Order: sequence, then C-alpha cells, then structure tokens
Amino acid sequence: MDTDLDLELERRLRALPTHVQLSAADDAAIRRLTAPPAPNRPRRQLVLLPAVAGLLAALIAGNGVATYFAPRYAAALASAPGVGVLSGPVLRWTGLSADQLTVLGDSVTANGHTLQLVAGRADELRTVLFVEVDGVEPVVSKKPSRAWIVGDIPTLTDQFGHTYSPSGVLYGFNYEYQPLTGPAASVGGRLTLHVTSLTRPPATPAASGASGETVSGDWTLHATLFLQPAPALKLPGPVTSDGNTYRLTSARASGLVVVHWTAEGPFEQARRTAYAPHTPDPAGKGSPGAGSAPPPDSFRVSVTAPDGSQALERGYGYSIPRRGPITGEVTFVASQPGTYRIHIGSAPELAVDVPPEDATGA
Amino acid sequence: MDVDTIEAMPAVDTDATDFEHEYRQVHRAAFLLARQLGCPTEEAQDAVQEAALRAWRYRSGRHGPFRPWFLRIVYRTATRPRPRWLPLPVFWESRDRPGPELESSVDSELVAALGRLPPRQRAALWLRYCEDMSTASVGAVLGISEAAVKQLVLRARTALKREWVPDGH
Repeated sequence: MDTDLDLELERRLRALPTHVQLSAADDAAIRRLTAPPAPNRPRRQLVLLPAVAGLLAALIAGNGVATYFAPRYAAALASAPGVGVLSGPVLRWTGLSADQLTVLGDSVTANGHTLQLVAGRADELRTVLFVEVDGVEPVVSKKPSRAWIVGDIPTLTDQFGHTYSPSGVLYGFNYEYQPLTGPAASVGGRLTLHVTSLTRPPATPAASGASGETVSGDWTLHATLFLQPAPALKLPGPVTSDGNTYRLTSARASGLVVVHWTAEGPFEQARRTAYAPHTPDPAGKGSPGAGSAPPPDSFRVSVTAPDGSQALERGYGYSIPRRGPITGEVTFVASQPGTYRIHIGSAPELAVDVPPEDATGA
Repeated sequence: MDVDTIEAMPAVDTDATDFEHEYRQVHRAAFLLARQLGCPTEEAQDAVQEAALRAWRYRSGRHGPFRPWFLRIVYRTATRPRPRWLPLPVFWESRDRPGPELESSVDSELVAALGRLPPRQRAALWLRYCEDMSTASVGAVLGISEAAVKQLVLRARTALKREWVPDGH
C-alpha cells in the first residue's frame, strides 16, 4: 500500500542522518568551518614577545595607526567567530586558512583611491599580503569586474631596508613575496608595501579594442608580521624506474608545499648531453638525438591530492647541472591535510604526508 | 520573504559567544543543506562561510530562532546564480567540479534516489525529515509558506517514491 510505503519512506529518511557517510573532503570542510577564529587563537608569534619586548613596543606603536584606520571589512571579519577573513576561493589559491592570517588594516588614500592591507602572513616559504582597493572585498569572481585593482607589482621592503622579490600575484589583490630574511626573520618584519599604480579593465570587452584605465599614485602601506614556521615533512624513500633513481630531498609545508627532488641514473647523462646549454645544436631546437634522451615529459611533475583530485600546482621546474643529479622543485597548494602523491614523469609516485594545520605549528 | 526582510526584523541581542555557540550547533546542517542543494564540497563550504559572515554582520536583525534564520541565509547563498564567465586558469576550474555525494552502506538505495531529485525537492525532504524541522521552519528556510512547503514535500515524496526501489517492495 502506498501508505505503508510512505511510512517506510519517512522512517528511512528520518534515519538517514544516523548512518549517512560523508566523504573525507566533506568531513574536512565541516571541520574547517568550525576552525577557531583568528582573534582568539594564541599565535606562535607571541612566544617571541618576551625576547623582543622593546622592539615590539616600537612596532606596535607604529601599527597603532593601522588599527585606528581599520575599516569595516577587516574589523567585521576579524571579530566574526568561526568565519574566514577572506572568501574561500581566495584562500584556496594561497592554501591558507583564515586562522593562519593576521588581520591587518592599514589604509591610505591618494588620487581618490583608498588602499587597505586586509590581511597577511609571513612564513618560511613566503610572505603573503592581501590588498583591498576602494573597499571592494577581494574575491575570485567569474564575472569580470570593473573594480580597481593594484596595477604594477608593488615593492615590499622591511625596516632594515631589505627588498623582497615578488613570487606570485592573484588578480591584483593577493601578493606573495620571498620569505622574511635577515634580522626581520628573527625579530619580525615591519613591512612597507609601496603601490605605484592602479588599473581596471575596459568597460567593453577587449575585442573591441578598448584599453583599461590606469591611475598612478603613491600609496604606502605598513604591516607588522612575524615569521611563522613551515615545518619539514617526512620524506619518503627513493624510488627507481628503469635504473634511474628519484629522491625527494626536502619538503616543507605551510599551506603551500615546496618539494625539492633529484633524479640520477642512466638518463641523467643522456639528458645532459642533449640539453646542456653548451651543447651545439645543429637543429637549433635543442632536440635530443633519437633514443639518446628521455622523452620531454620525463620531469613533468603532477601532484595528486588526498581526495584523488589534482592538486593546485603553483609551478615546477628543474635544472641540469654540469655535474651531479638533475634537481627539480615543485610547489603546490595543500588545501587539505593528508597524503599528496607526487609523480615525476613516469617514475613511481613519491608520497608526502601533510599534517593538519595545528600539527604544522601554523 | 527574502534574506533582507529577515535581516530587517527586530533585533535580538547576540554577543560573539552566543553567536559562535549557535553557529557551531548548526554549521553541519548548513553544510549538508548546501550539499543537498547541489553545491560541490568547496562551494558548500564557501556558502556556509559567506552565510556565517552575513549572519554575523546582520545578527542584530535576527528575529526568531537562530537555526532556520541561518539556514535561510545558507539557502539563499547556495542557490544564488553563480557567474560563469571569468577566464580562470584551467587547473583552477578543474577543482570546482562536483564532489562525491553522500553515501550510506545501510540505505544506499534511498541515498541514491534522493540524489536524483531536483535540489529544491531534495533540500525540502532533507530539512523536513533528516533535520526534523517543522513545516513552518522549512518554510522560513526556503522562503515559502507552510502550505507551499507541504505541497513541495508531497511532490518530493512522490518523486522519491518513483526513484526509490526499497528492498522487499
């Protein structure tokens, strides 16, 4: 009878929550949704406090201005329990979670545009800064926006005069630089971000020939960040393929994972002979002799995330020194803890375990 | 009734501790609601985060219980049309693909049948039975009247019965 079926259906529906199983990705997402909010969380930087109290006093005094100017966006988000400082897509690009960021807030207005440092992080892999222009919340949107964004890559310097090289940019609001170095790495960096231009795309599609607008100016923003660790990951043993040995030599994680590897074996010399810069190349294309070198994708690196998807790779490369093994590097975003499987060419996979954030000391 | 209407209602004084407590009570249901509405894992997480942010900003405008109010914001966020034409890197797009659906070794047929329903019907059934919410609360979440909830649930149950072939039937 339909009534019996209805009752049975209702009974089973009500029972579903007791036995329904979530995927590992869903479980992880739910855990992230209850991550402790940043403002209430003790940070490693506080450990440094007693040792550098005097300097910190000066730094905090400098940052007092930033705090004073902290506008609604950073302030609202900083105090919002259980939610992120920046939207999920933005954070995923960086591999960071909201509680790993320091909420900043310094803002400056010039030429009619207000720039604000929303948040940042300094760790042993990179220095990350998020910039907001005219109060437009940084988002990774699929809709082309006419909002102003930072134009030329800003320069970043610390209080000791060191200039940091940029290492990544996302949509004009997320900038990554080399990690803090020198004294700033020890005592904390009082950083100065100098922006010289803003830009926005044309109102009509680029195909129409319209060009975007640019505004030059002088926007100087300040932030104080302390170096956070990027713990070393446990390395797997080497793997061999066709007599060639692949080995991970270092792996460090802090949202981003940077892995260095080497490869040595029979193809090493062949590869060197074929591609070494000093080797004359009659074809002018650097093409190896047939059968003398491994195929071009021998060192193509791909990374599989714990959930089986392809990890978001930020870059990879390798070099062929005149002596010694071929060395390479791959950088990818670890958006979830777990085992990441690194594939170098056709070699057997090399796996590294990325622990949860808390376990990395982040 | 839309989110803005809810947000404009008389204030309930809620401090951060209370808000966080309430949020922690409902965040899992909120995530699962977004998943039932067809959001892949990451979009569901984004929807709940965004809803939490909106809820926190407009917490003073909350009227009534936290749970349906918050789930209403999640519903609105998760069902909002997602623009699709910014040229993102290919590898970025690949991460937006739908994630795995719910599974159950105890009642896999029902879970599979539920997964074949339209998201709105699935969400209605999920809220009404799995979250054990009253029709009034489901209506508050979906932004429809109680009568409309009853009709929606009835249609969803009829559709589910067509999709579902339980053992022994």
